Amino acid sequence: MKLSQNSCKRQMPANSEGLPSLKRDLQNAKLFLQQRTASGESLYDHLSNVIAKVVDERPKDVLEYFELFSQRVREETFRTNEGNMLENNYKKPEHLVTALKLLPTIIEKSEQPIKATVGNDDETLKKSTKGDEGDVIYCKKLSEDLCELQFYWNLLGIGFPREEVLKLSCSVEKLKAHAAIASCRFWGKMLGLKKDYYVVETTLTKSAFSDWIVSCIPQHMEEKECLPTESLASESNPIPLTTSASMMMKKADDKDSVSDLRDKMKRMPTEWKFSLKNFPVSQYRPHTANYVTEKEIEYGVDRHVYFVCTDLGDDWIPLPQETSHHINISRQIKKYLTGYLDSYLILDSESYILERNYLRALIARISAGTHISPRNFYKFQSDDNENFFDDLDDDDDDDDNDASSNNEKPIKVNSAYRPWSIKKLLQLDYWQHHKVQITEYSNSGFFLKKGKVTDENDRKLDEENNVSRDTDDKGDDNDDDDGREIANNGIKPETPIPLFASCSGDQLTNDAMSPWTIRLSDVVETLVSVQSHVWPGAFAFVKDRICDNIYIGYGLKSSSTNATPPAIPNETLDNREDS
Amino acid sequence: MNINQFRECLDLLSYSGFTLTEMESARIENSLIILQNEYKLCDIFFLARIETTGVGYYYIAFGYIKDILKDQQFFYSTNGYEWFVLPRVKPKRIEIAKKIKSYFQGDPAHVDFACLDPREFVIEDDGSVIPCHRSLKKIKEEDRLSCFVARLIHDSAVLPRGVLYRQVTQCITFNPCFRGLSRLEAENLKNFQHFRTPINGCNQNLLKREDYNYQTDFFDTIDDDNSFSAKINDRNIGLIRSLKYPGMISFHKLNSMYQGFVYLGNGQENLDWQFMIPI
Repeated sequence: MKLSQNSCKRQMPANSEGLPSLKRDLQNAKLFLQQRTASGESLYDHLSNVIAKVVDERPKDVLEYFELFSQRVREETFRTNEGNMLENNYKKPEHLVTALKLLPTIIEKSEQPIKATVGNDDETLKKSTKGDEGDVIYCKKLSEDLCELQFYWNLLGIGFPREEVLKLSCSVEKLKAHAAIASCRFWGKMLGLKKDYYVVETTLTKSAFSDWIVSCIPQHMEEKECLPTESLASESNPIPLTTSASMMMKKADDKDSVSDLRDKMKRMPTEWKFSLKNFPVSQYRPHTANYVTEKEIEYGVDRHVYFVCTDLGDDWIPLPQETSHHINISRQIKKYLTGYLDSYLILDSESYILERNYLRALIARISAGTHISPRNFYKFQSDDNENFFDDLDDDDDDDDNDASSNNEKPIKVNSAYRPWSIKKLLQLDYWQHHKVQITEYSNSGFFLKKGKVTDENDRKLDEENNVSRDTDDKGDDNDDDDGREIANNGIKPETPIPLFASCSGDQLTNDAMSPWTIRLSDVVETLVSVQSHVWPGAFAFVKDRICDNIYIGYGLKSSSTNATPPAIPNETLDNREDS
Repeated sequence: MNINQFRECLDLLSYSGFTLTEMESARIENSLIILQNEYKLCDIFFLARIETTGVGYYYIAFGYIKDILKDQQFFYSTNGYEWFVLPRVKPKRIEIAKKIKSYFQGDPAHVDFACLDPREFVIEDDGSVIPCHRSLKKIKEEDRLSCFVARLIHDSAVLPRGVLYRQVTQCITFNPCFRGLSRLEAENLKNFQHFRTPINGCNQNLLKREDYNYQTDFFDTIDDDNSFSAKINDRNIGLIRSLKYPGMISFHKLNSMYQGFVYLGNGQENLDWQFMIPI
């Protein structure tokens, strides 16, 4: 710099004000660069910032991405400016809400000291503080089952990171503390579009369960009364054809409503009357028939009550018990869950379902299809002569002597179970279902045996829609044919599928491949996992005497073809009423 | 999932509910580093683990030499440590591969048959309808795999905005300046881009933003096709799941450079996803 200045001076002998000189040019250039823009910044500041940053940080090959680098520096200056302006405004930490929710669940428990021996607490997460007495350890005991099971899932590459497992077990512990709940188990996670559901399977105590059943029934009735189509019809002034048609179908048997409709038709503009003159009135009664009874709910597919929550730390919400109606509709629907329990899933003008019911039906179907365990792992609770001590949970005491089939007897872990050898566990013959299978008419055998006859029409409809592509796991072609005959004759039902059926009998409906894949863990020798291909996302594992099932997925049953929505039932088109 | 950030990315991935097992990840990580050295690749990524009808999986990885979109080189493996080059994709093969709906068999040499034209068929004596021999096309499983991977990436691989950028030489590479999206940015799907050569016009993509940047914003954004479900959990991890290919997960830890996408699935496309989204 100095050199060049000297050389300049040599060329310019006099340095008066009016004459060009390097110093003046430099000053001018600097002044130009220092011009402030509307934002109060100047290019000079920016360039010096960028150069300072390059020299400070010494990034590699900065020339290659110099534009981006410069842009980043500029963005940073804006950020700091913004920060200065808002300095006085306090901003809440992002995770304040979750922290507030979670902390009580963690603290609450640890205040209740549990006397624990040091020996038996491996793999349980605990916070131990030494009390005044030397040998007493106050420890926070989380549901060790959950943590232990999740530990094995993690070995298999399934399940959640440790931090989330901790949160989950805190949250489940909170639920467990409720008096009505006898036992609970983490069932899995249902993925939704906006939120995911964590699902916990619980067994209620006997009194609480009967209360729960009673409380379930009015819910169903209410739903039937507020059908969405009706509300639509009442709102829109000139009734669109489709809605009025569906209204007629809804209340075809109800004469008052039909006459109401006629009145409405008279009020319509003339061009509408033309098309509605001989409008078919259907005798078809939609599937909201009156057979949703206490019995059905009580002896539904299973007697567990499921709780869900979308954000860990929130309250757990119980799902209503499933009914055959909901299961039938859920078989026809292939939709993503949204994450909001009160949203509707609409199949057509006839069939719609609340997301909570759909979710419950899905859980029932998935459990029935994919909950498996090694043979002899579970046994019926009633036929135990040897061990009284295993029956400590007296909630499901079996006084239902009328339970004629095996399916209604509660099951429990077989204390005499001896782990099979790994070689045997790698064969499907040594695995069995331990949930009641859902039959074609979408309920357990018990309900059918009791002779609650569904409409023959409904049955036909159900069958057309479901059987061909969806009989949970058990859809042999032969079974389908049998079912069709039965439906046509209106004679009563197929025998329920026995409870502890072997998995080797399972079939995928459309494919030649096996519905299960059994894998040996590559880390722990005696850990065997089974994956379901019928419900992708469902897994089971066994290690010695520990066995568990989990489901993480969207609740979609695998199908190699497109889902086809069911056709409009013929009844709506055929039966016309003469007007 | 860049192999340099393999462990960090696996941790992020585990928030989705599925991840690789310890043994698998160790095998894959080390063998891929060796593979990168052998092929003199600039970067190497683990892409997918695809279930087969048997016990095994297909593992897919890819690397690039200079331009991350144009010079991709794909590899597959059946055991997680012996890698083979995946054959090039041809448009004809994609058409054939689309028709095959079954699971992968696990044997690269297995040959599948597909009928391209369903109108050409023969009725057998017993009444069964079989496709005409003429219209039956055969495809090796290896080729089918490459077609599947190409479609998978094209439709469902997602990167946060600013991860890739175009140099002055038109070469697309990773942006070393990328420091992650903020929470506010991540809540907008416009800030996530498809990992593919853009199919929308450059102007169309640029005009979506007011503050567009030529170098980064010429990619297609994912807000146009509704085939993604995005969530941000309270650990500041954004997970974007593809609805079209269940099992494809793109993850990004906010305010950090960690991002990636992995497919852990059964190789099946969800054909109905458009009808499954609430209206």
